[in-house]
Amino acid sequence: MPRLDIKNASDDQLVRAAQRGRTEPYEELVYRHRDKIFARAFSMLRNEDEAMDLSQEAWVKGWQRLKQFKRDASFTTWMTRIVINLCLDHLRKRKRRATDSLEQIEEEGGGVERRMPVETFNPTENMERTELRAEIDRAMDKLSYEHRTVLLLHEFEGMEYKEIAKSMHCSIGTVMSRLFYARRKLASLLISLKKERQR
Amino acid sequence: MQNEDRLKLQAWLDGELPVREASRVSNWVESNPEARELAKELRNVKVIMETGEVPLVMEDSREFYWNQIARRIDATEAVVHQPKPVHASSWMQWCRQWLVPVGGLAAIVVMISNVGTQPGEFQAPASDVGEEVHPSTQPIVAPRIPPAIEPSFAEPVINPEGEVSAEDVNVLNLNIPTDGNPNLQPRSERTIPSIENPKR
Repeated sequence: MPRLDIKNASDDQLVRAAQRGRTEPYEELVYRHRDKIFARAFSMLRNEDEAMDLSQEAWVKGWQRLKQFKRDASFTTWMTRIVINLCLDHLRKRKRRATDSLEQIEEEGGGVERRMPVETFNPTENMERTELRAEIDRAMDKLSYEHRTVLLLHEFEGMEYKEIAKSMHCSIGTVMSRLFYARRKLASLLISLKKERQR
Repeated sequence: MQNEDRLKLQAWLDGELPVREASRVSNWVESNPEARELAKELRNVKVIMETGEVPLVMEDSREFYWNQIARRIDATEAVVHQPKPVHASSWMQWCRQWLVPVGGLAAIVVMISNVGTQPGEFQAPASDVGEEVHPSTQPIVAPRIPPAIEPSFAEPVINPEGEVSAEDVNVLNLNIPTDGNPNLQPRSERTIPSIENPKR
């Protein structure tokens, strides 16, 4: 069997080699994708230490389940699903410990988004890409974890309503109303941030 | 606008509606100014989100990060490969459940039956002792079993008044040390205080 050039091998070649029990190809995969996995954990948890811990946990789980990976999706998609599920479990446990704020209870009950005025102008017009991303990040930080998670799973991970409902252990109707609220709230937050900048 | 209509509008924007339903919502949005405004807002948010996320870059070195993961993998594999406690198979469990008690019971029965037999009660015939026996030539001789001793009970001596003598009744009056305990005194000496008249 020809020796694998780890540095220049494709993800698929590395995965195949790692599935045979070799750790060096897996180490290369970790090195290539660790930023993305950490970023997803951080965007969900908003805590650097927890994100670091859970992203490492995801790599451990990835190694343990590597033989089950059928390569029907990309390796990064598969790893991202692992870290998302770990983060969702963690957030559920965290939520059980914390007491909901009044605002959050109202958000969960629905109806707040209906009272928000419709914002038709684009609050991020003429903004640099980097600046715009930072602005979105600030606005996302102000959302509850349920709304933020639904939004990022749909917009950044491209997951359908059905997939999100399955991952978050809720109904499709709940996903739809959370997504609706998250979008409307995000629009209103971006406008507030723009007003703050103009002052 | 009903909440259901708002969510349907959003599902239309996300491409989650079937073709026929999507075309119906599209017509409704075109004809309804309120729906048109809401669709514009939601579409704006979708466009903004396409900008993507703030990229994050980890500062830890490759070796440091990988070593942490490798240590965790080793720790979990050590737990997985720990020798599991040996569980008895179902056959062994069946043996423990039934054969051991039955075997124990059988042993007790054998012991009891041996206790009832006096040692040396069955003696081999004198001719068999110390002699070489040839099964092919010697006829099989059944061992002599002594006749069973019939149990004999002494009849109590009954006097002409129909009373049994004291020696026969007091068979359980053994000389057990009582250490002054009234409950262990012979029955004839015990006095039971009356409940009605405790002074008696």
